[in-house]
Amino acid sequence: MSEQTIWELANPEGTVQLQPFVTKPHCQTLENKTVLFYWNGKHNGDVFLNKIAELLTEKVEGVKIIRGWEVTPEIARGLNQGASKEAVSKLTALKPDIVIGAQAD
Amino acid sequence: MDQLEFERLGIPTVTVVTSGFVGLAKTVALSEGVIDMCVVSVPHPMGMISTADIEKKALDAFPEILKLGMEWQPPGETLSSQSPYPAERFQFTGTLGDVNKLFFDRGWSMGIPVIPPTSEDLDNMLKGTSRKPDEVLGQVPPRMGTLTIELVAVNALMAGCKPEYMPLLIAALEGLLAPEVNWRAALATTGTSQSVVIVNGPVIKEIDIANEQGAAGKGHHPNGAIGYAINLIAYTVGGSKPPSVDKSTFGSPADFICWVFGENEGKLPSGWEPLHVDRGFKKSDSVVTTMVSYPPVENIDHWSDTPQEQIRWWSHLINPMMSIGGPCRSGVMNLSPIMAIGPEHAQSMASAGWTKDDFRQALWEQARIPMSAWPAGCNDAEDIINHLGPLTPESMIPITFRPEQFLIIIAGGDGKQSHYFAPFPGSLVTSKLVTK
Repeated sequence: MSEQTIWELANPEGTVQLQPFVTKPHCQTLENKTVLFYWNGKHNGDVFLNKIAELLTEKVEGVKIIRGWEVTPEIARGLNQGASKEAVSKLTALKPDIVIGAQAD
Repeated sequence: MDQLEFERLGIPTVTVVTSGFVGLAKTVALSEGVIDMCVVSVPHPMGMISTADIEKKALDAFPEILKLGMEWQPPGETLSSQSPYPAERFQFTGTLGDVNKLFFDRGWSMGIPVIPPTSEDLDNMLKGTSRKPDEVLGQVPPRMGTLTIELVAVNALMAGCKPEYMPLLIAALEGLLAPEVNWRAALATTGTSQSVVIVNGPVIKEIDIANEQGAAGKGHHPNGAIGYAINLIAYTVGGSKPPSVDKSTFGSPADFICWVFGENEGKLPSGWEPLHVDRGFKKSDSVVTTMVSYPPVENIDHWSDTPQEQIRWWSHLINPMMSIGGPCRSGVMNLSPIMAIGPEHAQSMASAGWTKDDFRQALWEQARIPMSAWPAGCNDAEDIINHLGPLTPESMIPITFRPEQFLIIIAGGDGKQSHYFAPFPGSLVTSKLVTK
C-alpha cells in the first residue's frame, strides 16, 4: 500500500512507574570500615572478589572483609534471581559500610 | 541486581560488570528508580578464564574500585513518573510501510511487520475483554514498563490478534509476570531463553488454538499472533532489546514469536489427565501454563516398543546439564522440565500399562550423568548432598531432586516425535485461569 494516510496511532511502549530514590554518597575512606563482598554465583566472580579483598586488606588499614556467599550460600546458587529478603536481611544485619558486587559473565 | 536492594536500605555499593553489560546494569538501575549507580567496568569476560587472568583483571580494576568506593557521589536529580494510562496518541502521515519504518526506528517493532495500532481498531480490540483498559497487569521486565490492559490491546493489535484472543493473551501475560517465572532474567540473559505457553480446556476450541499436528508451528493464526504479541510486549513495554539489554549470545527465531500451543487432550491415553487437571484445575476450566525454557530437545524414537526401551532412549538424550543443573547450579534441580510427549509415544507407554507417574519415576532414575562430568569448580555439591545423600565422582546425578517435578503433556499429532523443554534457571511453572 503506497497511499499516504493520516494515521491516529497509539504509542505501544507505555511508561515506567518509578519509586525514585537517591543512592547514598560513599564514605570518604574505607579505613576501619566493613566491606561486604557480594557474588551472584557466576564463574570466577568469587576469585575476582577474593583478589580485591586481598588488595584492600593490604592497602587499607583496619578494613573488615565479609564474603556474603559464606554467610548466605544461596545467593551464589546462580538461579538468575534476586536474593531472598531473608538473605539480604542476614547480610545487612552485619552492618556493612559498603557492598562491592561482581555480576561477572 | 541485588546491589540495588542494599542501596534501597541505605548501604552504598560498587558494582563490577564486564564491558558488554554496563548498559544492562544501568537499565536495570533506571527501572528501579535510580538515575545512576556506581559501576566499574572490566574487559569482558570474567567467566571461563584462568585464575591468573581473572586475578590480573582484579589487579587492574582495583584502583578504580578503591577510588569509587570512597569518592563516588550520586547525582542530585531524581526521576519522575508519567501516568501509564491512557497510552500516548499521536498523528502520523505516510504509507503503511512508513508506519512500519517509524515504529522500527523508535524501537516499537522487532523488525517484522506490525499492523498500525489506530485508535479505532484499538477500541475494537478492547471489546475482547471485560477488563478495564486502565487496569495495570504488572511491570514488564527488564525496563519495568507498566503494562495496562490498553497497552496489551495496542500490542495485540500490532501483532495481528483478534479481539477474542485477548482473554488468553492476558492470562498468559499474568503467568509470565508472576515473579516465580523469572521472566526478568530470561529477557536479559545471555542464554537462548524462550517463553512457553501451554493451553488447556475449552478455550482451545473457542478460539481455535492449534493442539494437534504441528500445533506449535506455522499456519495457526491464534497461536502465532498471541506468541508474537507476548514477545512484542517484552520488547516494547519491557525494553528487552539486543544487544545492550537483551544479552542473548545467539538469539533465536523464538525471540519473535514465543511457543504457544494447546495440549492434545483428545489423544490423552486412558487414565492420563491433562496438564491443567494435574495442576489442580477442573477439566472444564480454560487454563494457560507458562514458564521460560531453553530450546526444546527433540526425541525421534521410531523403534522402542516397550516403555523400558523408550526410557532408555530418553535417558541417553536428556540430562541435568541442559538447564545447567547439577553441582554448578543446584537450584535448577528444584524446577520442572516439560516432557511434551507425542501422542504415539504416550500411547505406546500407556498400552503397556504405564501411568504418568511410572514414566516420571523411571526417567528420574535413569536420566542421570556422573558427578565427574561437571568441572571441579562447581560449588553446589553440598546442596545436592542435602537432597540426595553422600556423593562420589561416580554418583549419578538426576535432572531434578524429585521425580514428580517432571510435567507431562501430550503434544502434537502423528509421528514418533516428543520434545523436552529444559527450564530456564529460576523459572517455575505457573498456571492461570483464562477469564473473559
